Amino acid sequence: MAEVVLAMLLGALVLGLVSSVGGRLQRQLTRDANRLADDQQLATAAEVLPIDLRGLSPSSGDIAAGEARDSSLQVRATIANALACGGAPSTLLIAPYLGSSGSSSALSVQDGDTAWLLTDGDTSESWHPVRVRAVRRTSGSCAVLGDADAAKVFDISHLWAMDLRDSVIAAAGAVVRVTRPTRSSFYRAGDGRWYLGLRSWNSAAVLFNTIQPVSGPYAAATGAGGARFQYYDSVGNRVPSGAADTRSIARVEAVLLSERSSRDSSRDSLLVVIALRNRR
Amino acid sequence: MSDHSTSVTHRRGIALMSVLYFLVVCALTSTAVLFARRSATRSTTTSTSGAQLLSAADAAVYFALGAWDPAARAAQVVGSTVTVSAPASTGVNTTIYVTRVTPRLFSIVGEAHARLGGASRRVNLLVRLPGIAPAPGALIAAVGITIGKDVRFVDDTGCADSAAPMVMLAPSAALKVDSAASIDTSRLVTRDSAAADSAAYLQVGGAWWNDLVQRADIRLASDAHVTPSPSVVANVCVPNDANWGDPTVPSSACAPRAPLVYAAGDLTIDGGVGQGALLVDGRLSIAGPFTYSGQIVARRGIETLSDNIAISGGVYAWSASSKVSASRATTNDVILAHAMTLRRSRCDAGHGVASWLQPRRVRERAWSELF
Repeated sequence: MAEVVLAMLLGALVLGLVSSVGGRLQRQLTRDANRLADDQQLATAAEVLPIDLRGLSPSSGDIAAGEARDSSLQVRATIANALACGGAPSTLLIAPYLGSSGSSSALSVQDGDTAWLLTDGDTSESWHPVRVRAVRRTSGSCAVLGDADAAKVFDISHLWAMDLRDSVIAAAGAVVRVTRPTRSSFYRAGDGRWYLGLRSWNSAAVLFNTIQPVSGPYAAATGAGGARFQYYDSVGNRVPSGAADTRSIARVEAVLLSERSSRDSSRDSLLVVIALRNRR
Repeated sequence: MSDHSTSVTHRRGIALMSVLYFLVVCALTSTAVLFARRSATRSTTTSTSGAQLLSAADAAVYFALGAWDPAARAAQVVGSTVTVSAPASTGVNTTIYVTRVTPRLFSIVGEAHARLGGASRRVNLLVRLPGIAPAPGALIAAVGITIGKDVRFVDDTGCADSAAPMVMLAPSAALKVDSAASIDTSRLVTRDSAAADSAAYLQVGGAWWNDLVQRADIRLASDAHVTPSPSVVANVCVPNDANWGDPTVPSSACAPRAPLVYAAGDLTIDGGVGQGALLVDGRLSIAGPFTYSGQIVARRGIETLSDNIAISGGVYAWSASSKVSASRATTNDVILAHAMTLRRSRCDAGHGVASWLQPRRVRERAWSELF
């Protein structure tokens, strides 16, 4: 009988130890899994946000007045780059810039986007905006690009016709940047949690499309202690949220705070600093 | 006995289950932790690599801007693309493409390509040379001008210059035109106080006289005689003091050569051809058939002593040299007594000063990442 009791005690001890270790390992696993998920969400935001924001030109109004807020940021993001090869007043023949490694991709330009044409004057240059109606593939050649090496920079084998809502004078040789309004926001979703989302402009409905989540969940964007955007001018002075004058913004920071863990109140954070390349 | 046997069997089952449970949990935990670490490492590596590549691509385009070769870029044909050597970078191959989009506008594309993994980033920077405003005339003078009967003034119709008077003259300067001259007098001359302003003569292509003197490609002593002509050996342009480039044959090896020539006092050109910018700190005499493309600034007047002179670009005549003793001229006037053609051309004037023009970023949307 004593042997049985001893065996059961030892068995219980071993089982308890195993359960304890196993439980701790399970908790560790859960923590690591959660942390991994948080890190991936933070990394996603850190990858996506700068793409839209780096190329902004605040001085030309790419950041909408009063729309640089701590919970949202409305901008004109550059979505395409090309060279005008010629064309009629309401249609431009364009050769897109090749992407990294010389890759060619379809233009994602749509009705309502804005094409900015660089006009090279005698004493200075200026960007002239025209509204885009549509783009379509077309054949032909780009006469303004005279040599074979241009094919390393421009997609001259896939030219596009860009139909415009406005008329332009002959613009052969003009560089074209195409922009589209977008709005990045920290928002509260239906599940009650906070996410970073992106809304693109719908020119037909003349409003932004439904927000699409980019990453999250994050700490509630309810002020200084939550996920938020911050803005600074070129000498490091803070530009207040909702400021009417956004032309002085030279740097955007996104403070990303993951949700606090329910077990140990810990959370991950990431500060994404984006220097605006076209601030002058 | 039977109770004892049951108890032993029960203990074995517990031990086996415990060990299996422990092993499974350990295996799952280890796998999950390893996976998490690998994913985190991969994610970090990807982010770091992307940032490094973007930084390298950025550095490449600004390197191209910093190491700008004005002469090579001035010679680059509009619409052409050249590959420029890029600085070496650890683990990254960088390539720079420079496309001349318009006479003034260049597109620089920098690409950084990771040697391992194959990831790459490409950025674009637009830069622009300072504008060369259309010359207010083929001849701008603060001093008196005498125009002979065989002098012709023409426009460069291929340069899209707007119509303007051929001569811009200081308000108080004298003008004598031979009555037999076949010149459209209605648009021959305009009098403007700007022609009396020293800045019109001492600032060339955005740079000041003294700075240009310091950086001159060719220096000539006072009272020098020169007969410039292109010098080509084995299809290579030989840069010597008598070689002022070749504006007459576009395919010539010396066609891209456009030197900045400085004469420290009076200068006599006994004929020849040349292009670029000619700064004369004294009186300029042209004593033989001479073809020139670019800008000429003479600080104590100009005189032609021979026929068959053709100058395209802009000619500027000021009224004082920097050293009075450097010139033996008795007059500062411009005397064009022989057959010559003066062509007002912003293109040729710009080409002449291109060797020292440095580009700057265009405004507002110069930079873009290419996807």
